[in-house]
Amino acid sequence: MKISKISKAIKANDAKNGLRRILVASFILGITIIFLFLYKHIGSVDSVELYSYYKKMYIHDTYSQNAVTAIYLNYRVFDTFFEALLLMICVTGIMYFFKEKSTYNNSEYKEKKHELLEAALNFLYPIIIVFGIYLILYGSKSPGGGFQGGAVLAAVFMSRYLVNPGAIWHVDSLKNVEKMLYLLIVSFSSLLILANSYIEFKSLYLIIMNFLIGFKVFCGLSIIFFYFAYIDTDSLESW
Amino acid sequence: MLEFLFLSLIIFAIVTVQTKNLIRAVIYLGGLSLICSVTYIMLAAPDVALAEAVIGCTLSTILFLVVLRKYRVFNVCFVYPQINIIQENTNVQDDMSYMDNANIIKLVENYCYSKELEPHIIYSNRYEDLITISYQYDIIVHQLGKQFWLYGRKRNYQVINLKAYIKKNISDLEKDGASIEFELL
Repeated sequence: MKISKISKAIKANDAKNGLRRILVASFILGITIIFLFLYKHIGSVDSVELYSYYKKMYIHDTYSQNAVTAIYLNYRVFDTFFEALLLMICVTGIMYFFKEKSTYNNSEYKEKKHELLEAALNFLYPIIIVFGIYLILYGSKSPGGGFQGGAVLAAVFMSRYLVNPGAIWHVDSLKNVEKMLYLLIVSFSSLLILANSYIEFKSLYLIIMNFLIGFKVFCGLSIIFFYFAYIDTDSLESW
Repeated sequence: MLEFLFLSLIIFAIVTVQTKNLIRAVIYLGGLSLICSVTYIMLAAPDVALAEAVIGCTLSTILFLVVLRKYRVFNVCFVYPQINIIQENTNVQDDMSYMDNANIIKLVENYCYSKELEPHIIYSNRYEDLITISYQYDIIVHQLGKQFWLYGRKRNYQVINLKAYIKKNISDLEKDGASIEFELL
């Protein structure tokens, strides 16, 4: 009889898929065991010459109390350019793929409002925003930096969406802001030459660059999120 | 302490892969990111820990949850091997009316609309190819004459609700002499 054949075949196929899951799990386990083994047996990195140079000289070179900031804004500033460019290309790609959507038609969620969540988050917003700005401005003195602060600021607006999904946000203009900020990052990095020569510019350079990177990341992550949140499933099907 | 964190990372990674409920997988992934962030702090990298906490726990979790809420598609696959008999008729739409399957499809569609799901119905006459990708479909409807077989997954709660819905509204179909068997795999 055909009926039993089909269900038997589907069950057999499921068993095969189950085997694949087990293989994936054992693969993860194997990698972890190798990693732990290496972690136990490889010594500290203190002996590497570059590491000891950075550790000794970063405060003198950059006036930054945070070694990570010293590296990504001074020693390895070109890496930062391309990281920022990568995020911008990502945003451009998402905007290109979802460009068919013209209006934020989100009326279906308009009546749903979570009052408890809204009350709690209304109390927390100022604190989170201040924390994000603190991370950006004090990135050169304490853990944090432009990327982390920008991501915290973007998280504020994402939780805003969770509270009130019906609200309409116009994020298209953020794209232009992001482009301008990227240009500013590239052009302000010429201050690095001044900063490496004159002590007065060192702190100023770090703060300006962290500020620009932070707001650029904030714009980029907000655009990505709102494009995903307001995507029309109809426009997705027409691909 | 560090070994304990590594161990819980492995456990969370495996659980995330193994769980069958997508929302649970997202939550486990958030937990994985949180433990990862604590591990970075233990390894004296607070900057990376901050980035991991913000990106992994907050942004990607919210993004995944929003996408899961948006993507409410119910995939139906309709299999009927007899279509080979009427090959001269190339218009598939006409074949559909000939096959006399409109009622059961309408039943599934009505269920989807009542639950605000969007039905995606795929018609096929080759069930052999279908078996390897059967996990893509929430339900497979197999027709042989007036006999219908429905295959669904036990873990899919929508399928279980659909079974109850069909049982409730089966009288219209049985008037035409059709019989339905529902099998949960």
